[in-house]
Amino acid sequence: MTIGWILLSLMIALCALGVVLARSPISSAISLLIGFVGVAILYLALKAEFVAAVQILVYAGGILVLYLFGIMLTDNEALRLTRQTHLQAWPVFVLILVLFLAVGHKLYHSDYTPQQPARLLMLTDQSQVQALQNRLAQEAGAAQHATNPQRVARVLYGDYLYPFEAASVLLLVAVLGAVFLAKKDV
Amino acid sequence: MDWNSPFMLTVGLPLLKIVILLGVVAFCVAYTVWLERRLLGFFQSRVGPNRVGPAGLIQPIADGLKLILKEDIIPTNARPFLFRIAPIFAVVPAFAGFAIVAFAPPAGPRASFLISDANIGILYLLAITSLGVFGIVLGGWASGSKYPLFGSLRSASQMLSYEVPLTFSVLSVILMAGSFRLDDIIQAQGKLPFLVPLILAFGVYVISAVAETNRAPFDLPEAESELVGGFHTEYSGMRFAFYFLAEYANVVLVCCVATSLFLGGYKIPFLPYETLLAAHPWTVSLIGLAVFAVKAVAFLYFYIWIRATFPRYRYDQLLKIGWKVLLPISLLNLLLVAGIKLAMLR
Repeated sequence: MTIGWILLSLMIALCALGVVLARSPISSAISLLIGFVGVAILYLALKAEFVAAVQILVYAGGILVLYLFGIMLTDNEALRLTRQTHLQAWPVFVLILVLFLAVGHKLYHSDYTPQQPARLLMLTDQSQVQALQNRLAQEAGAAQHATNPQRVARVLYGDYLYPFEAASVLLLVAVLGAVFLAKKDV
Repeated sequence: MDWNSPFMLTVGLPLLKIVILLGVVAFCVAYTVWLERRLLGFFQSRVGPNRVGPAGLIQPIADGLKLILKEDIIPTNARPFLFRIAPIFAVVPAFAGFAIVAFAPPAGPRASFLISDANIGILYLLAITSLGVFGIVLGGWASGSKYPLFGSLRSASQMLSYEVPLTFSVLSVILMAGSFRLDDIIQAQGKLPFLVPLILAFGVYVISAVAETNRAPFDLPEAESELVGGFHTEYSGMRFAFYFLAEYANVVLVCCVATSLFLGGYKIPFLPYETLLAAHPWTVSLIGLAVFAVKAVAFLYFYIWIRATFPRYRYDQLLKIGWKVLLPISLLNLLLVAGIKLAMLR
């Protein structure tokens, strides 16, 4: 299991490097595709089947195809003639390294457990915390038998309903904006 | 051999099932081509292939042999590596989709007629089939020629557009059954196949599936009169055969999925499968398999019938049908199903 995990992580990291280092945009796109599939396998190994399926469906099957569209319709000759450098890479590398270390340090020294929902942290009264914890334990017992999509649904449409709705409104605004920008004057 | 050892249960048995399934699917694909050519001949008042073997039954094998023996040509302008691997991108998703199809009721705890009983079932199918477009797009682009490029661009926009109504029609089925698992969906159709309450979704599914598999009347990616052979113009030999295989494997997959989602899968309405299954597991399982096959072949006949009947649409008409007709209908249908489901819960 650990060896498989190391190989998979190595593959994802190599694909990520391929995305930024490849000179041909198509090679970048294919590295990205393999990377997406690798991440999906990682989700599957973590028993998050729903997220894995959505990862493939949305990122690989939807967004990456649009990328390919963009690459194929742009002028490849002009792209080949322009001089390409990796000069910006070094400052970005330092920046990402600092961010990575900061996040890693925070994660390593936190007592964060994935079962702890956000509303538990907002309560101050001890009795309320106890009551909520009891209820959560009951729900967790019920969730043992629930399937993966059902558990995702409970979190998405229960605990995080308002952020979810806000995100969907934001996406709608983006769609309307894209239609407005792309539409020719009638 | 110890069939109960952990190794056999986790590796050996699934591997055996996969090998058998791949063989059966490849066989079905070959004879789907034969059936299509015979039926098209019948629909068009001509004979069709009838020379190789009785009723032309050995024709698919002869065709396969011919394609294997042909020279594999790589055009000068092509990008060789991508050109070589693109057909694989098309074939793998088409065959991987069969992993979650439940062909028959399980005859025992270890004798189920499906490879993976994943609880995301139909979602996996949607995800894996959405990868099929890469084979077509990359193959068309890597050929380094303009007809394949236009063919692949057309097919990519067509497949992306029709994926939306297809997903919505499948969503209404999921809403009715309350589960992503294909077996649960089939169980929910014990008394009445979803074809009757979800006739709108079935119509949207059939039209979108025809467009998704790039077949007539929506076969614009390979419209001969405009684009020669479409995205596979430059392909020959076994690589061309791979595209051919992928297309027909997708057709067979669509037939199996339509049978499971709308026609009740291996169930005969009002037949008490559970009690019969407990008494004679293997007999009932095999009868279920036969019922599934009959339904799938009936759907396949319908599918080929569509191809023989309708003339090809123009490209702008195709996109208009997808976005302005099928999408609103499928959304309306989803709303209706959700409303009925909510009313039933009360």
